[in-house]
Amino acid sequence: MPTPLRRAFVWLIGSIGLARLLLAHEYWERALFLISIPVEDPLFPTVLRDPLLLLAALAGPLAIELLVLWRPTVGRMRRAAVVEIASAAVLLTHQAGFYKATWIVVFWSGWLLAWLAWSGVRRPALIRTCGPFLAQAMVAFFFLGGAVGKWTAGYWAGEPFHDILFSRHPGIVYQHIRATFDEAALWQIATIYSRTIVIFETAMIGVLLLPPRIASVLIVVAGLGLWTSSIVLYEIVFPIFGLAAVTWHLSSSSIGRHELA
Amino acid sequence: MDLPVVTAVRALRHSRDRFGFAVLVALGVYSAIVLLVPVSTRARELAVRRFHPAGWNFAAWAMLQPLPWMYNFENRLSVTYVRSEQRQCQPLVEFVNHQPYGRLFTPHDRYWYRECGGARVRLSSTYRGLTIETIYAVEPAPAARGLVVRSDR
Repeated sequence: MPTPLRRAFVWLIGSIGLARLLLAHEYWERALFLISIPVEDPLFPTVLRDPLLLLAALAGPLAIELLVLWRPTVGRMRRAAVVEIASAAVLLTHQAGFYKATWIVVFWSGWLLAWLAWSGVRRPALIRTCGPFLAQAMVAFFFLGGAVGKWTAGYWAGEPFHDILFSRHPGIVYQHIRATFDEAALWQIATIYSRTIVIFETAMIGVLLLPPRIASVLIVVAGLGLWTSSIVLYEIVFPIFGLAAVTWHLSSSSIGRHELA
Repeated sequence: MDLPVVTAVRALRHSRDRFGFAVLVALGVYSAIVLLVPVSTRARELAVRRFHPAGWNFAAWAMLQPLPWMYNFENRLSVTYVRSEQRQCQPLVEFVNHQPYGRLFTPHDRYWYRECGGARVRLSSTYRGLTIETIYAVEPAPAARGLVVRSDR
């Protein structure tokens, strides 16, 4: 197996595993509330309100992720990819997890992992031509979704961000901003912030067209930018860093020269 | 110089990598749905209504979950609790970043719906002239410790 492929796989699955580990506390709390205050609603089937399924979908993949990080064999990589997709599919449709965007990134990343573990291993010549493009296409897709949903008058005026971040976000930075500026200034800050996000997310769709190494650096910078808005966004930023690593490693010039000989 | 997508598709075709094609097609189809949202009324309705999924076919809703929806649309939450003696049971009006239906299920919200004896929850999502609003009654489950959510029109 080409070294860049192994590295790309390990980076992506490691970044997902780290996000998963950091979310464990939150999901434990969600599971406890599923038990103590179950909610019956018109959408979710009983099985997708089950606390054990929630915990299994969150924590189950950690075992195979650790095995891959320890020794990434082809068999383990394939099993891990399937487990990642299944876990994300459950978490995206579970009553206590469907509203967390992390699992969208993990779901699509799972398909990239599967492609690496099957097509990448069988046809190494494809790794460099298609691998970085698939990772870039996924990142562009996530930003496309984020951007299109914000092409509204409200986001252009900064109204949602004014309320969610600048009026009531408990983060220390937002508390400091609230204590420092009056309401009129807060509105101005929210408007500038919101417009910057809309323009930035729209521009990031173009990552699809960039050379892989430049795209990889830009994705990391964009991820860091997202992270500054809220520290808890690690849950989505880490897998995006993993996709940047895939783009970087799979564009390695060593593929196709030494390793495929 | 070819676009990266052209190079990738050519390579996939040359190597007959059906799996790679399938992943690319899936990404393309879901991207097309997102791109249609600002220009097509039907796509817009679909995208906004999936944030109000009570009454939906579960499988249809689940198929749309892989669409990226981070901070999408202008979503508002308005809650009126049945009992309002406690400070946390005062009426609530605020923006929700995405998936407003999720506010029926977070641990924090579950706790206060129960502590305040139930609630009437109004969710609305607005996108370029389209507003979808749904109202739910969250009630203590009879003979149980949990809650029951039902559409309340």
